[in-house]
Amino acid sequence: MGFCGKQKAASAQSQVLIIRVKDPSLDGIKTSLSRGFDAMDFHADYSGKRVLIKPNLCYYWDYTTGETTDPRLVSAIIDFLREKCSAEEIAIVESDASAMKASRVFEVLGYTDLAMEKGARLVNLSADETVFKEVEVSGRIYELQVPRILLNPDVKLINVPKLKVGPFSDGNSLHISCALKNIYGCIQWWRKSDYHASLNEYIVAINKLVKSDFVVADGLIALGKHPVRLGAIVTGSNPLAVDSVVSRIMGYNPKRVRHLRLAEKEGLGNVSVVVEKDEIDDLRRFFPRRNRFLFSLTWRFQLLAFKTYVKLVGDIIPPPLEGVIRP
Amino acid sequence: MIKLGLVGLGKMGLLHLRNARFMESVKVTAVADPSNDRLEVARSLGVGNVFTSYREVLKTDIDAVILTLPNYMHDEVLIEAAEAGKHIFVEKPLAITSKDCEVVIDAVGKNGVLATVGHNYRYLDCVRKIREIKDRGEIGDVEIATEELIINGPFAPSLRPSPVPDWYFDKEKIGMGCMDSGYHLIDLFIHLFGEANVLYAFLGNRFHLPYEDHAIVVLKSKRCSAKGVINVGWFSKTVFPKFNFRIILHGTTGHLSTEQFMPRNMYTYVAKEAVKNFFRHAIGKKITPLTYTYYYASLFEELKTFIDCVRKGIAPPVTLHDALRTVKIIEEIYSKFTVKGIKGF
Repeated sequence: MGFCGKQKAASAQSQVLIIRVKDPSLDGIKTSLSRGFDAMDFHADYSGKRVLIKPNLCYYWDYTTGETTDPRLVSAIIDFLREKCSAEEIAIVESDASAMKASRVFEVLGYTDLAMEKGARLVNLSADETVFKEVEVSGRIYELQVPRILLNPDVKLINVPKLKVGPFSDGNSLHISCALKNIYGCIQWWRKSDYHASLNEYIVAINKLVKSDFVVADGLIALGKHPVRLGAIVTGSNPLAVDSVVSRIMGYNPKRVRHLRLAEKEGLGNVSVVVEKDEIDDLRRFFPRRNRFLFSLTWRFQLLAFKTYVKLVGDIIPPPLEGVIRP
Repeated sequence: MIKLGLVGLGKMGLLHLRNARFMESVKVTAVADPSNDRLEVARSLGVGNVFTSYREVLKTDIDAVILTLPNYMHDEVLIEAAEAGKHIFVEKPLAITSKDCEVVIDAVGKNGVLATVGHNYRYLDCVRKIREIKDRGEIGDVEIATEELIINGPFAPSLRPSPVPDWYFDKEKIGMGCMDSGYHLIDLFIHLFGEANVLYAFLGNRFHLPYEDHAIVVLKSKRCSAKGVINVGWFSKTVFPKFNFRIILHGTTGHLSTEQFMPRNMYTYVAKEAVKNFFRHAIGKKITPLTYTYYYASLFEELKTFIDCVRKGIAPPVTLHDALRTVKIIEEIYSKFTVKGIKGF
C-alpha cells in the first residue's frame, strides 16, 4: 500500500492511493480497505447525507471475468461508510444499458441479497426522475438524460468502477474503462450504444455534470487481454487522477488516452500525476496488457473480411454477429 | 413449393426465416410477432403476410409452421397449429411438463400432421460422426460417456446489444434452468444409448437466478451398460465463435471425442468454408449457409430435414416421443434433487 502521489495542481483532494489486497476474502478486503482509508485520512462525515454507491454492472458477467465490480468490495465499502462515516442511508445505483436491465443485473450478480443483508437500497437510475442537461465539450453541445438524484448537492457519490481495458465497438475503442467511464453508466437512456460514435465526448460530458465524491476502483480482479488477480484497489477523490494511475498500471501513457486528455482539457483535473513508480511498476508487471494496435488491427481486418464475404456471397449472419452490417 | 409460416421472430425465429430462403422450393409466406420492428425485418426479407397474432398465420394457406416462442407458450400454439392441419416444427422443449407434452402428442396424432422438435445438436457434424463410429462397434461397448456444454445461456452477448428477454428470468415461463441447455445433452445420450434413468444430479446456483445455472447429472442407459455424466452450465463467459461443447465416449476397445471432428482452429475453418461458398457462388451454385459458423449450420440442417419430410410426407427423424422422453428425465431430476446455491459472499 502506498500513496501514488499528488497531482501537480497539489490539492489534498487529488491524492491517489493504491491499496494492495493480499487476502481476497471479504474480511481481507475489509481490513485492507479500512487500513487504506485510514492512511488516506478518509473520514468524511456523511451523517444526514444520502450516499450512493455506483459499481460497474455493465452486463450479467460474474465479477471473476474482470468485467463487473466485486460485490464483496461494495459490501466492505458499505461497512466502512456505516462504521466510520456515520452514513445511514446508503443506496447501490446502476442504470439500464443496451443489453442489460439494472433491476435484473442486481438480482443476478447478488446485489439484491447484498442490499438486503446490509440494509441498503437498490436504485435503478433509469427509473429515476429525469433532467435533460446540455453540456459543452470541445465546442460542441451534448444533450444528456441525467437522473435528478445525481445532481442533488446533498447526495454523496462513491464511484466503484472496475479496472479494465475499454470496450471495443463501432471502431471506437477506449484504452481504459475505469472511474470516468463508470459515470457514463449513469446516463439514463438505456441504449447507450447510440452514443458510442462519440464515446469519449459523452464520457467527459457526463463527468462534467455528475461529480464523484470518492473513487474506489476495483482491481482485485482486473481485465486486460484476459482477467488477472491483481489484488489492488486504487482510490482517490478525483476520477481523472485515479484513471491516470490506472492507465499507467495498464501500460498506457495517460496523456495518450483520448478521454483522459479530453477530460483534462475540459478542466476535470490533471493527468500528470506525480507517482511513486515502484508501486505502479509492480502492478504493471502483472497486468496482461492488450496490444491495442494489434487488437484493433485484427478486429478491423476480421470485420472487413466478414462484411466483404457476407456482401459478396450473401451468407446468413448468425445471431451473435447481428448488427455487423447496418441496414 | 412448400409454404411456411413462422410464429415468433426472436433470434431463432429470424435465423429460421433466413435459413428457409436458402432452401429449394420453400417460401415463408406468413409470420407473426408482437414487435412491429421485427415484422418490418420480415417484410424486408420478402414475407408478404405479417401479423401480430399467431392465429392469423394459422388461417393462411401455409403447409407447415415453425414455432420459435418462449417455452411456456409452446403447447398452446402447437395444439392450435395441429388443429389447423399444419405440419409443425417447434423449438425445444416440446412443452414445459410431460403432461403438456402428452396432450400435444395426442393433438398432433388426432389431426394427422407431421411434427418435430428442434434437437439441432443431433445434426452437428461431430455428433453424427461419433455416433456412426460407435454404432459400427469400433470402440466396443461404451461404459462411460461424458457430455459437456458450458456456455452463457440466455446471456450470450451479440455485437448488436439487445436486452435478454424477461421470460428467461421467470421460472414458470422458462420451465427449467440451465437444463434448458442440458436438454440437448440428455437428448444426445438417449440418441446414442436409448432410454435412460437418472442416477444422480447436482443442481448449483452461482448466479442469483431463480433456478440452477449449472448441473452435473449422471444417467444410466436402460438399453445397454453405458453411464453418462452430463455437465452443463450457464455461468461461463463464452463469446462466439468459442463453442464449449464435447462428448467423450469410453468403450471397451477405445475412446472417441467430438473434438476429434470439430475445427481445431476456428479461424482457418471459417476461412476454408468461406472460400468454398465463394466458389459455389461464383459458379452460380447455391451456397450452404452458416457452415462457417460450425454450430449454426446444424440449425439449417434440422430445418432442411423437416422440410424434406413434409415434402415426402414421411415422419421426421426427431419424434415428439423423443422430446417427451427428454422432458421426463428433466422432471425426474427436478423431482429428486434441489438447487443448491451460494449464499452471501
